[in-house]
Amino acid sequence: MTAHRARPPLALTVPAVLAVILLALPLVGLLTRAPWSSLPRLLTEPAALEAMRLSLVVASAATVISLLLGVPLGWVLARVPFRGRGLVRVVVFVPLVLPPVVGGTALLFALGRRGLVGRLLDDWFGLVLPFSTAGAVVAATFVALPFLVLTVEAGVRSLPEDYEEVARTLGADRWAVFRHVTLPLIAPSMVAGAALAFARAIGEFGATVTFAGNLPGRTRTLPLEIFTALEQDPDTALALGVVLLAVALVVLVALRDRLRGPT
Amino acid sequence: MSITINGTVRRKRFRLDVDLDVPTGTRLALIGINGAGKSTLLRTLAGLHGLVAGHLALGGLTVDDPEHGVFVEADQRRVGYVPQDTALFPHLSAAANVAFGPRRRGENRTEARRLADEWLARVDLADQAEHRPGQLSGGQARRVALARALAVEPDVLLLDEPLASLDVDARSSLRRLLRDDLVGAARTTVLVTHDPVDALILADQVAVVEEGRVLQSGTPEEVIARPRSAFVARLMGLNLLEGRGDGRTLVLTGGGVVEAAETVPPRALAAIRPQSITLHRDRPEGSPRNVWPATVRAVEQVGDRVRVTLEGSVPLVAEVTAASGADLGLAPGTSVWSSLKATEIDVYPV
Repeated sequence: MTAHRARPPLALTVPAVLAVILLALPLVGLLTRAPWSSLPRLLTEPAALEAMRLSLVVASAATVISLLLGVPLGWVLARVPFRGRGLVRVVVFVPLVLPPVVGGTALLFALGRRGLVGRLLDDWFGLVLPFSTAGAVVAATFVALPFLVLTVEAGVRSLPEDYEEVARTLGADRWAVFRHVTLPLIAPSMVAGAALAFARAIGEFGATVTFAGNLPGRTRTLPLEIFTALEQDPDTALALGVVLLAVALVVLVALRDRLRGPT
Repeated sequence: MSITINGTVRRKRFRLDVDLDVPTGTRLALIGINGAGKSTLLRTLAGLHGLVAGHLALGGLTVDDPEHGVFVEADQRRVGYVPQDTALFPHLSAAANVAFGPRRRGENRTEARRLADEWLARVDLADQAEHRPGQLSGGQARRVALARALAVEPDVLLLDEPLASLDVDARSSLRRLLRDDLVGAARTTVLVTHDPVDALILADQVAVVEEGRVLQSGTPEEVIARPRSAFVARLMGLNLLEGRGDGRTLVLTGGGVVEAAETVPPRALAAIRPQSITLHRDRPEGSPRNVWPATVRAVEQVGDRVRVTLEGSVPLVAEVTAASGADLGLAPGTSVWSSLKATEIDVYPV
């Protein structure tokens, strides 16, 4: 016999169950409607293959750039007290709450051919970001970077400063401390942050379509391909949806230790 | 390397004014209750925290002087630091932890590893070289942390509560290492503790820290015999007797004999609280196992109590109430008997 436990109030359990249904129902819809038998054929269509390749390239590049820029920023936010740190953190949060289409518009006016910085990039380097794969990478990085920064910042903050302090007394300068002590110890946070950034980047739609357009082979990543196919060829859209769902599941597995929560 | 500090340390709510001169080779214990600022002072010596005023010199060289904009970073001071929780790098093996300092100071991989093995052997942990800190016991971790600090041959060694929260065996093995030549006679050591026994065993100078300043400093014997305040008397109120064990008997180096309630280790220290010693004009009858004749050398009033320094085969400091001190007519030269229950004696292996 199990120990008697008081029944939780219905006023809480009923909305809780509704919430789970709301979250799970679309997944069930996708999985039941997915054209499982023709999946191999649909996913090997040239357009689908091209979109998958492009998504992999764009999301990977965005993740690498996020690591290169985001790890230092996360460290600075966690360890360096400076005036305006709160403001910088707000800037980091903006892409999380800003509608991606607004982000894409903003990118266009900053980095577009006539934009603030875009004009200089064009004049000096002949670099034109809009409607190029590089532009898609910039758009994906814009939305993915905050996940990495915030995860790494939390990781550095939760690291007791003792390790870094002792390393200093052992003769390590600040860079050596970061390189040999901080970096290895925040590796789990970096992996988690990179997984989240990759998941966000590979699913990016709004900022990409606004800033980089919807050009097959150049900027038409998986989400854009799904959107394009939805009208004419819903089966292809569903098949590609399954692919993105699988990517999301892989990320969840990679983050399982962080998601398990207190038991 | 000598340490000269005359300045103010501040951290959050508290403030500590320090004026200490620590000659080369001294083993100084900073003793005080928790939160007195001892650890912050230690971190200031290490260069992990700055003075807000005054100056600090190591080996005659000013390393911290905020008024003149001088601050030598921690990695440029030759100081070994062992924090209370050891802070061993969890991602590195014991050997790699010890090799960390030599590597950062320019040794190549092979030489750093050789030094690490050598230091691990000196702390009796050669067989744990490949273990990660998570696989080490508390006592082993402290020893690895000590080896790591010593592997860079620091001129000053800073230890934060080196013996706190260890079991009896781990304490005695670490205490032996710290008393041993391992730490080096030429090396200046500053250790922080809240335990007077540790201070007395490990240090040749003590500084009692309380209410934001150093209340008293001197040799342990001086501070115990002549505490300048009731607080110091309460904190440092301990007699420490060294000798060899024989069953439940401790035979003192000077020849006196002390009966304990437990088996005494071959080489041991006995700690006796002055309050547990009773003084009599005539030889007492009855139960106490320990009765010694003694001559009063000094009498000192501390608060409402009297501290009596006794000469004899078992030299002790006793503490009695002012009233009973007056009843006994205690004065230098008086002959008295001191008595003590065996159960009031704590023995520690050396």
